Amino acid sequence: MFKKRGDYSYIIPREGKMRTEGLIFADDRMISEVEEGAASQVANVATLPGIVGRALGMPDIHYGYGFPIGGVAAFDMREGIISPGGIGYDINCGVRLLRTEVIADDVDKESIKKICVRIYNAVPSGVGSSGTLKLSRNEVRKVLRKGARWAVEKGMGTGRDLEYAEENGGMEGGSPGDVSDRAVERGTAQLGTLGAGNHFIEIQKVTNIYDPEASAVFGIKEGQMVVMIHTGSRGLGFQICDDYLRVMRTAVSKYAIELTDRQLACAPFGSDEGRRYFSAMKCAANYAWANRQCITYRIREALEYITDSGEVELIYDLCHNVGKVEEHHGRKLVVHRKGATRAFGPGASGVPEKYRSTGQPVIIPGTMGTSSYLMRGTESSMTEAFGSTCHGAGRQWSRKRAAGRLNGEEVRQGLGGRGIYVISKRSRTLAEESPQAYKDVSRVVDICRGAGLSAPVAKMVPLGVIKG
Amino acid sequence: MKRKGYRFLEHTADTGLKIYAPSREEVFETAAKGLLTLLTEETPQPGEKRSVSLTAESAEYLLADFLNEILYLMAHERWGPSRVSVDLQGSSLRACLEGSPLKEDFRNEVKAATWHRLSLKETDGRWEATIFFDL
Repeated sequence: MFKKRGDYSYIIPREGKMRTEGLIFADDRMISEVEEGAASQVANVATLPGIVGRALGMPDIHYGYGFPIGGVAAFDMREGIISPGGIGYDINCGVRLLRTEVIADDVDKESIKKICVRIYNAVPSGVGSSGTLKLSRNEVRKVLRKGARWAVEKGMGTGRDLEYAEENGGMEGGSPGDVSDRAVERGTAQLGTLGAGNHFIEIQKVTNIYDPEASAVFGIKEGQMVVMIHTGSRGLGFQICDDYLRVMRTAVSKYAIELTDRQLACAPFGSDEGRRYFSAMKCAANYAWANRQCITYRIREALEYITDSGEVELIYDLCHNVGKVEEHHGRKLVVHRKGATRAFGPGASGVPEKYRSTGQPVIIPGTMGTSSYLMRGTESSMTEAFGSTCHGAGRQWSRKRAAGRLNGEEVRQGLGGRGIYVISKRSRTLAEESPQAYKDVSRVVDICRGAGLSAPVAKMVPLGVIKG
Repeated sequence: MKRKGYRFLEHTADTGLKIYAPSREEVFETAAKGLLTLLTEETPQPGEKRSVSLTAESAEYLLADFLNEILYLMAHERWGPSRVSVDLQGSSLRACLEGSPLKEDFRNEVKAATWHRLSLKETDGRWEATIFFDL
């Protein structure tokens, strides 16, 4: 099925209804591990109207629904489509990385535990978790318009937090009128909550610096304590995706779009259906940025007793489930990233001034027991992948398989033995989310480096983990 | 062989349900029970009544839409059905639900019932459905 293109990329040749080739970034070993279903999903994306360039799979690609997880595809503004399935249910699921001025080794294990417990108590987690913030529907609509700025205006952050977030923590042009009452209702009680599954907050230590110049610009050094947050738009985002998939399945007949998989349901980008979905998607993305901002506020409070007056600054915040209008190769395109991260290189617009020389920070979360990486966007990512890279390790075991083979308490004890404190709502989550259930994030990062999609800047290991 | 029931299917990122029953309506009712089990270990009690009315382009889409309605009741309203009675007429569904509030933490965060490999068909007088959930 694959044709080797280089050491780190394989082509899926055009056949049948494909309008273009597929391309998966992988080395010889990784490509042999790519599920057939995931490769077929790349080929299916290649059949969609108005696709520009190739349908792409990132090195952490795995089998999803409709689009693969780790899928990137760009579409022409006039001839092309927008597809909720190409963005995912958890719209603007993303990560942010905070740096402290604390040297991790100066903090004893008991204090790490205390911080984790404080964060765990301040940030509601678990399935369907609801928060201490209860908003009226009108207030939710303000969040949908403003994104992280809503939280900053409420005193839960600074202007710098907005400066160092993708899209400055809020996309322009989202109209709450395009969001259903039901979705708004689901947003009333979940702002500032983590959720469950693979979402987490981690206290980490920087163990390796690979790029001293970029790390100096990003403000991190070896031994430093950093905090990573991984969550998204919660039930509001799931509802918007579901609402608009229903709209799109009617649109598919209306615009006579031929689909190879109905989960690829879509509408022309310029159609009323496409426009309304893009507007609602922006609202969900804004909710997710506000969510991560509210959580940041709680984390800063929890860290106060070890950081004294030291600042806890945002390095960057980025999405890995989103649709954007971006300029690539001299034309404006509708870029879908599902389980993929924007990785704009040096000089690219849309990157904070401070990071223009290095390329944007790219945050790659690992698993509870392994490492996470800070990378930077590259020039070749812009030419090869519409400025995109991987988003994490990528699952290799289903949750059922992981929970069948592993015991959550044993996972907790095993991590504890390695100096990693874990606090979670459910023990089973620890089994489902154990490191063995995921691909080796270091291999994924190495392929991204080899393929030129992003360049490693630093490596972090977990000290404390808060899970749903 | 049991006349009706369900079993879970594995998928790398998600979980599916295979449902079988003597009638289409019972497939819907059994699927609702499967979804309940996927979310919670709790057993809701009959008492409060709810109703769901839907129309869709096909019976398969009706099944996904119906489960997403139940998911909304469970995830947002924290209410679980103990009895489900479904009436299908052409492309319309009317369901009467009876259940109670859910108090315990859920075991899975189910984002939605998807259309991925969604099927509903009759074979030799037995109805079977497959549906995957995004977790």
